[in-house]
Amino acid sequence: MANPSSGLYAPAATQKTQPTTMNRLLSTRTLGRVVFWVLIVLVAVYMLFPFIWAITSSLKTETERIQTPTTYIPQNPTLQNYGAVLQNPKFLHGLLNSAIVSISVVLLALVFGAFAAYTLGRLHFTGKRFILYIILAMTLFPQISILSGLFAVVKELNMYGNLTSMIFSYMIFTLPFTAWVLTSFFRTLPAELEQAALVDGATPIQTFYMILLPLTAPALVTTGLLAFISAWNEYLFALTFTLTTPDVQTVTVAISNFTGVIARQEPFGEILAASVVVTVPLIILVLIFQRRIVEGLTAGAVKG
Amino acid sequence: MSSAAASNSLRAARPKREQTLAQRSTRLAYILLLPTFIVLLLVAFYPLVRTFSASFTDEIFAKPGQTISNVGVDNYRKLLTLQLITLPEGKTLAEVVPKGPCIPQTPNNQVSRGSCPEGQGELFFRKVSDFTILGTTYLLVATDRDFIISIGNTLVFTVASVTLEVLLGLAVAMVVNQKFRGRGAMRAIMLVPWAIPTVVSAKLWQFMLKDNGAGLINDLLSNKLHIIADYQPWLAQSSLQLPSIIAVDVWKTVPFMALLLLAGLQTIPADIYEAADVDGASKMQQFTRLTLPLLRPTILIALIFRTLDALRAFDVFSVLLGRQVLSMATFNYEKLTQSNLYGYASAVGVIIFVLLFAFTIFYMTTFRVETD
Repeated sequence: MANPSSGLYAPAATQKTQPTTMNRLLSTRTLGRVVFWVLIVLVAVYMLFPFIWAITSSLKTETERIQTPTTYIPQNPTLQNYGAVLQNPKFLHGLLNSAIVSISVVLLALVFGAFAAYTLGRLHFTGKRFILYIILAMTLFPQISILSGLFAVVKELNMYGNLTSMIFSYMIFTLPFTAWVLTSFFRTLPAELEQAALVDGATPIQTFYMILLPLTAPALVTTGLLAFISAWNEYLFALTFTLTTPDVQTVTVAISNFTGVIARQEPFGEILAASVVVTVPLIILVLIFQRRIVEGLTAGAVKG
Repeated sequence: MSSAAASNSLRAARPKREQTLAQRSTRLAYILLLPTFIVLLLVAFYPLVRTFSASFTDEIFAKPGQTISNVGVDNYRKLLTLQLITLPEGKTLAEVVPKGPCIPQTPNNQVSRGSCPEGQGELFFRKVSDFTILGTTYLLVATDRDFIISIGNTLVFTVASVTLEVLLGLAVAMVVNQKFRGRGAMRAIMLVPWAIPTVVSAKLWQFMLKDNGAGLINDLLSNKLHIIADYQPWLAQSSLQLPSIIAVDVWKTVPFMALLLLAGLQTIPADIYEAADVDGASKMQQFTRLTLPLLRPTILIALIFRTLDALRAFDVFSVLLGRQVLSMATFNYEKLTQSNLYGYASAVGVIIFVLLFAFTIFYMTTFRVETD
């Protein structure tokens, strides 16, 4: 090889050995490449196999699912479990309840959170620093520790046994989160925008919803999606506040105490089918908004 | 509507207006913060105050017409009293267990009298665990052994899962931080376990951890990889229960951890590695001398988030182990909803709150010291 730089420094005697060193270098590099790809595949399999297993097992017949040793590819694939699940009123109710609760929570948390974030990110007033600290501390608030007090408040406000109990209580983890993440987004907007609006005679409120809010739309989508996922996945409050009223239970609670139509004991076929039905929309959302979600998660965490 | 009036008065009252602008800004700020303020007051601070005040009573949940007595710190005494005693050879447990403290009997709190004076009841010690060091047998006894055990379970769960998650998360982040085709797809894959509801993932694992060959884990480890000889009852055998749910939690959270650490890794400029290469630093040296110190703030934040999450773990414990193995959170839930002990459960809540608060302060002060 006519490599001038290597020829310049290499003594004449090493000319002969150079090809073998090159070979060795090349082979360690390909070996490294192979090891690397093996690692990548291992990581991907590790992260995906429970969900893939849920899909394949949900397609098996009851006899094949309890067969030992287990089979890896369904012998007689059937959609029986999905049919049963989609006719199960408890599950369908759960889906609807979860949708109502999660969407309401997201809207409220975004509206209130955006007000707070605009204030904390753009306005100057006394006590701002203190309020910021409170909001940050609230994002770490341990919900479980106030379970009994919250239960009492929910009963007093006549929310026990209906969906408002969850819409209300989920604010404790969504609102501080949206307020905090949106504050950091509001901060990144250039100050010239507001100054220009102010010169044009806009009030701060007009500046907020006509100029700044449209600019934060991407952040609103990301934050809203993350709040939606956390509300959709919530279990403790949903379980506690609907103990005696099964018809307002969310889908996580419905899945956790599923009683099947087909199977006699643990209706795993239906549980798995239900799990897939509940998770697929989330996964699709996550794949669409992948980049944004990672940004939102790290904005919430890393900048904290 | 007020703009005409405002422009009229603009010239006349300029200094006054300048002054009120700041005041108006402050007033607007408080108006805009009001909804958030009210919501957080109702949903967090008021319940916290309620929990705190109830923790000093013997109130039963949703029991009309009850007489609620103030019991002082007796709920805390019952929850937290524990003693380490030695068991001399030839003696039985019943012979050495000390007498428990006496607490007042109240209408809601019917403690049996034991050796206590009139109007008071005795708390009895029960064994939490025993261990032998240098031939001496020690017994740990507590007045509420279930709570002490739940604290132990939660701590073991937290330390093990958070440690594993940081190590594995770091490894995964290092791998994915390389440039390769399909990196975007890989990041999408990493979001899948995170997006699955914890209850759902717990159910999936319950299915995979079945105690016979129909369970994937048993089949893989026994028939395919030959790591274990017999099928194991992962969720039924006491020595396997905690390790199993730690594995489930690790699966669910490693991707999240890896994504956080990946974001941290990507803030490290590439040229410092080039400089290190030129200086002849090995890859290992680059990792311990450059990557780890620069990643420290990110690791600490991830640690805070994960530790607080793990300490209040409810979903995995509740779905996979139910009442067999309790965490602090499931213990609290059981006391409140099954036993209806509102006052007692509130004391548990306060203890959890204080514990998590202490952890946060500890981490935050450590963190501040590190970044200064």
